Amino acid sequence: MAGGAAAALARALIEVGISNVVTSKTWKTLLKGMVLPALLIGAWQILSGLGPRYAYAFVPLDTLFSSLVELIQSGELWVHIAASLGTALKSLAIGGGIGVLLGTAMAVARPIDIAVSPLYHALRQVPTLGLIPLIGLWFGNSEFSKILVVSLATFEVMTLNTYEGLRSVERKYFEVGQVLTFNRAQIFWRILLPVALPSMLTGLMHAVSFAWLATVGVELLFTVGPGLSVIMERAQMAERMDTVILCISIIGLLGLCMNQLCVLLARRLLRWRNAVD
Amino acid sequence: MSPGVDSAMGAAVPTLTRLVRIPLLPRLVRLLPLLVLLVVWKAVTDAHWYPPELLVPPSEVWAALLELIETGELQNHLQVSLHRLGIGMALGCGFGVLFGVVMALSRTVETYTAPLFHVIRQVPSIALIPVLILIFGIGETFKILIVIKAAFFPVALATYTAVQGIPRPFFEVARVYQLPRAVLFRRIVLPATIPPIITGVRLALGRSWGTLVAAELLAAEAGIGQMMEFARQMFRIDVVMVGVLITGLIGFGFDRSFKWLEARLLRWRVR
Repeated sequence: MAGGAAAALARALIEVGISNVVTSKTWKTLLKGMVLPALLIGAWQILSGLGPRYAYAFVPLDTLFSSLVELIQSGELWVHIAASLGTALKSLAIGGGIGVLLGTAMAVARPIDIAVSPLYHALRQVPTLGLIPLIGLWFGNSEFSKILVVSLATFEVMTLNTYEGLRSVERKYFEVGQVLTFNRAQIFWRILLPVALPSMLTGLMHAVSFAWLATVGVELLFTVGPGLSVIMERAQMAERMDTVILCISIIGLLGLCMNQLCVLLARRLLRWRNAVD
Repeated sequence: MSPGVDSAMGAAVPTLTRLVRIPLLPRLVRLLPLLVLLVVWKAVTDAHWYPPELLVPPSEVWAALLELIETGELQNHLQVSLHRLGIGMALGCGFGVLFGVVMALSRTVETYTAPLFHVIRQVPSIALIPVLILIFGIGETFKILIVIKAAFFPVALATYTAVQGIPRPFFEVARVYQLPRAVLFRRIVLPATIPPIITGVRLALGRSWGTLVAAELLAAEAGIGQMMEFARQMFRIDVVMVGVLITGLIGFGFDRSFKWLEARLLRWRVR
């Protein structure tokens, strides 16, 4: 069990090392990257043994491990993970979908741009989580409020990136389209979309991390229904430091995995670009 | 702005008139949708479709704003929030710049710290609130630490990229001119790195502001977030809306001033 988790963690670390810090990909570098985390874990274990005051903040590793086993065996963990991921993904689909549609509409139709963009930019100025009291008053402590806030967070990023991606298409590409006598649909699918794709994928990457952040935020602030942050909040009230630490680690790991999935998706969808370079 | 999209999608319209028309759009036209929103809002409240606990007319929000200013309540909350933001940003950016420079200059530091750095960077700042509350209580420390966490990572990353991105030829030119180190630093390193760092600080400021407001919603005795949360519990929707408005205006103000700073610092760049 622990071996599997450690291996998964190592793989995640390696992935991040490769994708974000493109340096030499040798095992030696990767091992060096593991030194600091290992030292920190060692220091953690030593500090936890210094007395009950230290053990409160630095929960001994074996306690952490047994509470992890307990969480998994009670089956509770999966329910909460599924709930949190569900909120994030549902909102990503709703908010991201509307964002792509609105961004496209604003980029190709000037009247829509003029009518909508001031409202959009006004909304964008407010930090999404700052809207929680207002949305809470309007829609109550409900599942709907949670989805609405997280959807707003993803909607804002996707709209902007779709819009900017589509607007960044250079004139010369349209001229090529004219030479090839493309009709409007062809111009959109064969010229606009491929050029806008990198910006949209960047948007997706940000949208995923914002969706996750907002999910954690709404679960902490609207304490309704299951969710990882809900157990974390409950554990905080009960002063169960071990559960809180486990929840943070799981939230971090899941965020990391989603980020890596996006990186892989972007790489796959943008293969053609690297081939041209 | 690319006029190409319009000309292609709006087929018949000649590109030139589009090009001329866009900059000539009067600023008032851009404000029009917001005015329409205000009018619709007023009309909806006048029609009494929704109970006043849920939707108050714009005039009442305005009155609430004036009242909060007159009693000095708003200023107090803002002062508390901005104080937390200021301290947290100063520390977070300071450490961020330091760490970014060291990580960019030393290969060793980079190999040893980068994986951990990128993993912790991915943990949403808000997720740290419960653990910080458990350790430090619901006082000032946890809010400032949250701001530091939210500010540190974007700034460190921006600094790292900026320092790594100084083109090598710059240093070669400096060597040819035999520039002293101080001059090299002041005339080459600083102008090349400050603008991207400012961009990082701008991002960090936006995120820290959002995170701080969320932290204040959860646990605070004062601050703009606490003002909104308390108003929500009292069903004072007008005060909540003032809070949303002010939070947005402050975020907007920060973003604009840093964008202006970026543009100003990049004036020397040949376009």
